Amino acid sequence: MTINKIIKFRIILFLLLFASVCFFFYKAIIPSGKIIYTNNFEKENYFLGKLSPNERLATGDKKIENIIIANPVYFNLYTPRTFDKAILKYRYKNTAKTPLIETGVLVDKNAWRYDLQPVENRLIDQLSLVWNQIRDGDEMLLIRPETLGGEYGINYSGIKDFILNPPEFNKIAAYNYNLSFNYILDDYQPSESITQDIPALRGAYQFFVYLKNEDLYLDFIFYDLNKNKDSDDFDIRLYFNDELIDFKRIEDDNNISDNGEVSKENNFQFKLANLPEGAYKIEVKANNDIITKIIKSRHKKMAFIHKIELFNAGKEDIKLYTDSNSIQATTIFPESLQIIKVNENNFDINETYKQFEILTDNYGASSEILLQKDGLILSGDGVFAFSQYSLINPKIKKADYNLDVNKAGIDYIIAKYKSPLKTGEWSVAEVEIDLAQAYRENNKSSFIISAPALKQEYNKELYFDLIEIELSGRGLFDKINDFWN
Amino acid sequence: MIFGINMRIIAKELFYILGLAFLTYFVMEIFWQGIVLSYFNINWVLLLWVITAILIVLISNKKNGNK
Repeated sequence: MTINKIIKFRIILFLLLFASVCFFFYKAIIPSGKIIYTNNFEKENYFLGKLSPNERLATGDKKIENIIIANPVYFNLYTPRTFDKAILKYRYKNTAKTPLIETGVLVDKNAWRYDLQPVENRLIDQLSLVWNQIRDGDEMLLIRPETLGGEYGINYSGIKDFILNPPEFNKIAAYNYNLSFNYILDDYQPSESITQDIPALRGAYQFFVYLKNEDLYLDFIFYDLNKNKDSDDFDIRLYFNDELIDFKRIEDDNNISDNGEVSKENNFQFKLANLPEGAYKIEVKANNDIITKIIKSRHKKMAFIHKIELFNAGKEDIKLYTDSNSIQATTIFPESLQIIKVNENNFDINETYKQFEILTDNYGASSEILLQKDGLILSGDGVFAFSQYSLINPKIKKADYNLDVNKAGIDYIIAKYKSPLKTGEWSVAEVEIDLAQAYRENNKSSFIISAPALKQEYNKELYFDLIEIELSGRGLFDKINDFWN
Repeated sequence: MIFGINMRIIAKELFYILGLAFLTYFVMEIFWQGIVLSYFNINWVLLLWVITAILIVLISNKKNGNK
């Protein structure tokens, strides 16, 4: 072999290496800004991960688990770069006839919050067959036919007309629609006395307070359990009509280890003057290391939204009120196993890490919950308060499987929803997800498929045939243009 | 020599390029996680690199034995 030939051979090898490096960079940069990843459950996919956890899945005629038997399940999406938007396409068979399927991306890891979007809402699908409807793109307004006059039983010219001239608050239900209402309580009188009847809470929570000619006054006492690694900084955010109006940050106790050394108590007052009358939302965005020992408040109306985790501080005989139709109770502490009483009915919470569901069937009226002790996680489709008078829910009822439109007296449903396309038993749903707020770790985003009524003990299943994700973002040329301009 | 090709030289050239490829892909993975691994398992490069190294040793031994 001559030297010349060896050099030629070497050049070819180097060119091959260079070409492979270029290929990998090209695939990682995705110059067009658009790409589609598909999982047909036949072979493992590096980009679109398997559904998990395995205990909530079964294998059908595919090589990889594709049947959901319990709620919720998750999958990860690896992307070498960021994208602005994802269109998720699911081809599935809802043999369980589960009334609600939603999907979304993780947006807040601390609060474990997914931005859920509709896949299938059978309540809306069924009502749209019998109620009158007005459609404007993905937005829809369903109107109970017998309640209204007009030629077709509809007396709104369009969705905009409905929003400008809404009917009574308690006649409307909404789904995936942000309908802002000026929520005013006519007979409300502010209080001067300070109350602190709220037991210790763990982690993140949100609550409504009602203000009328009074300053916002909330006095928190927090401490840090230091059971998990990472810094335990957290935020308290104040919203009015879903708009952030104030924000406070509380720094960590300078112990970022998981040594379990409980920090000293930290007092924090959230005060704000000259706020207009209405319902305000306060969000404490903290991880599970943060305990709110005390909340002192002078607000008579104060209700926790959807979920509260009562820290096991040894408090007994706790009374709560809720407007939820279904309540879920879970505990992770053996010492917190107990019988809870909901509207005089007893429910035995006799297993740790198991979610117990209790139906109150009260449709807007309040239910009383009596707990023997704390250490429970309570969640529901409404709000929770520690006195009956405190109960306030300025949110419009959600049009999902928990809602019985007849019992709840709902005449209008406003929604942003596109029904899945049905071909025989198969349904194909397309869901648009905004990835700008998505939480990413190690170039991965976490997605959820939620079918809340799907429970292992019901022996029903949701069969997935295909998951396809179409991603779009800024292309290379857009980025170069931005750089020069 | 097989078909007039010096296998030792070929193996040596492959040994160098595979070593360099492994190192390049490894560094790329450190700075941009998944850039290579999402398409290709770099362990294959490592395996080929070891095979070429063994080939070089075997061919050299054979050559020395012939002498």
